[in-house]
Amino acid sequence: MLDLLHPSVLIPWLLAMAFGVFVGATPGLTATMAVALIVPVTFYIPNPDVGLAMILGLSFTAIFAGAIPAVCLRIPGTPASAAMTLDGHEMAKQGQAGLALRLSLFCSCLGGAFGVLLLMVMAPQLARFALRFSNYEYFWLGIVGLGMSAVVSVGRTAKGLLAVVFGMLLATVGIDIVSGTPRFTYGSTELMSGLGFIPVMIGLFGVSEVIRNVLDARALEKADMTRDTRTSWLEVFRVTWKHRYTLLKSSILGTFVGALPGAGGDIGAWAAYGVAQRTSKDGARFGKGITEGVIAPTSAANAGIAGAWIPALVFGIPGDSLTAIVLGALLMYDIKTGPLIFEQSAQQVQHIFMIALITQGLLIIAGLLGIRAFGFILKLPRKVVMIAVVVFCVVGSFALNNSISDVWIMAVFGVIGFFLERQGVPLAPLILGLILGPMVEENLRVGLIKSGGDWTPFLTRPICAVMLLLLVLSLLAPPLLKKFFGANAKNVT
Amino acid sequence: MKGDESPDSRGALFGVFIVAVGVVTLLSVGSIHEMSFGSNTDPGPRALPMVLAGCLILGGLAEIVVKWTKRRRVTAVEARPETATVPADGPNLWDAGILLAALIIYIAALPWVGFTLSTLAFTLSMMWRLQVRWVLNVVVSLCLVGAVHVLFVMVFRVQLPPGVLGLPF
Repeated sequence: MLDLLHPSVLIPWLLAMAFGVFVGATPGLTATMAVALIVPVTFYIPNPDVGLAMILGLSFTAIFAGAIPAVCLRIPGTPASAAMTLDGHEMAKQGQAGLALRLSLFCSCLGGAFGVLLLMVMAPQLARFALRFSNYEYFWLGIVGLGMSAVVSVGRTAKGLLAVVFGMLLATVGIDIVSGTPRFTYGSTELMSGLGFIPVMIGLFGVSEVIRNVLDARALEKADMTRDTRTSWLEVFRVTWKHRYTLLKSSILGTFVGALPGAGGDIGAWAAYGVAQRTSKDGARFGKGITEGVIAPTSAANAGIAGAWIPALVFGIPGDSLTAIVLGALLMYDIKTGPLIFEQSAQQVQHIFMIALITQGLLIIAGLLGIRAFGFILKLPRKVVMIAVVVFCVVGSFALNNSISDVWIMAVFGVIGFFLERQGVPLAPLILGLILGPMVEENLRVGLIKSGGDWTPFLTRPICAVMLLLLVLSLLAPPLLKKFFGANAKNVT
Repeated sequence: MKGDESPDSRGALFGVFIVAVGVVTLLSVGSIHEMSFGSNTDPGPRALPMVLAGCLILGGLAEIVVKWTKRRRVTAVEARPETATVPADGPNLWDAGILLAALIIYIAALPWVGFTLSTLAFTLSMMWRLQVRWVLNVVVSLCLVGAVHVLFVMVFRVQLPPGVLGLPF
């Protein structure tokens, strides 16, 4: 433990976390890309603890930092922070950017710490349960996620569902993953790999926001959004304590979803947001700038990173793309993941756990620096910030693949996003349809191939049945309850 | 012309858009090459897009019908003066149009003129249009290009478009 606190470990650790803040807060640069960039650097460091500390520190910090532009500019820095654009940005618009950011930072730390503790205690059991998921269960996991996103989104559920379907349709562009056939590419080689998720997301959230601001002369003349960045920590602790059960639920859910191979922190964040809205007394205020809407996704996202380590360590199956890169790095350090890891590399595993836990504390320092740096930029007049946002949208969408086509896609979806929002259509379900669409289709088709075209396993397997029930309840319960309570209210009056 | 649609037309336009997307998808599905592997039970690459397109058409039509019937019921509301959602001085349609045109020119110019010049031209012209003080305009534009260069080119090793001039910065 003391070895980990030596300056020779702490300094590169903090530097990597600072790098994580920059990457996470820059739209278009993902945490996975940052880890991929830093892994070769760690190979030149003889002490494996330093390398592991840098990788782990960076991954947790980058996921949190994605919330900074999501709150301030409504551009999610990372896919996991897309859910933060809902209540986080609404709070910023109401002059509570400081509270939203500090709350996000604090809950990221707590969610991450909770996820790591669960990882330490329950890793083998959780990983075994996660392995019971086959194509049938993954199909329903995707469908439940999509259904929940439509139900919890601001506005009518019907529009949310249509946005989901539209998003899923967009996800079918490109090479079909099962048969290898090109779909809707119209002869374009750029479209073969499909519509990039990052350019679409940047366009929908970033450019559409700029258009809306430019269109509204009064909004453009407003002062910056950071007038209360000096929110006291006491207020942050008070709000967190008030919603401690939301934090706990979201952290557990985030860890569990993160432990499902291929699911990752972004799905965990949306699932936690949905559950928090469903179970909150203030469910109707979600999407309008409520603190619970910040606590739930942010704690689940970081808990999901810890969760992704469960199958990675115990079975050598990465929970997400980020962990897949880290698994390669572990092999370089001669740490062989698998069921025997706790016997063969017990000391290294203990070090990984301790590094992940200490990272949560260091995240406060790195995160505050990031918030302060970003706050300085936002002190500029809004019209200046909006033009800067356009430049970052262009560069961010270009940077991922060095492709001008991605920039065009970003611009087109900026206009589409603006139009859809004017029509009262929530954008979050569209994004989730784009993310989960391939997962749903692939698991449906592979499942049908496995069962010889028989749909029964999709309905009769226990976990599938539970998820189907959950979906039906989440879709039908709100209108039924509204009807019931509405009728009661009429009787009273 | 007002930029904001009345609450009743919201959704109807979305319905039309969604139906159009569904119809175009259905017409394009035929171009997807379907491969057969004997007794393969895979529904194929056309199946999901067709189902999704069907859902979009039905959902879009439902949106149009719902909004149409609602509109007929609330004609009185429609006749009221402008709601508070529209700014008193009207939406900046002109500025928004210029922004979109400038964005299109900016993206089209990127591969030819390069990142530095096209970005400077975009930021300087747009901030001038939005009446930002010229000193701030120039300082911010230069800082922005510099910051992007340091962050993306020097730190993240991203190759930004150099353009035909091949400027090193």
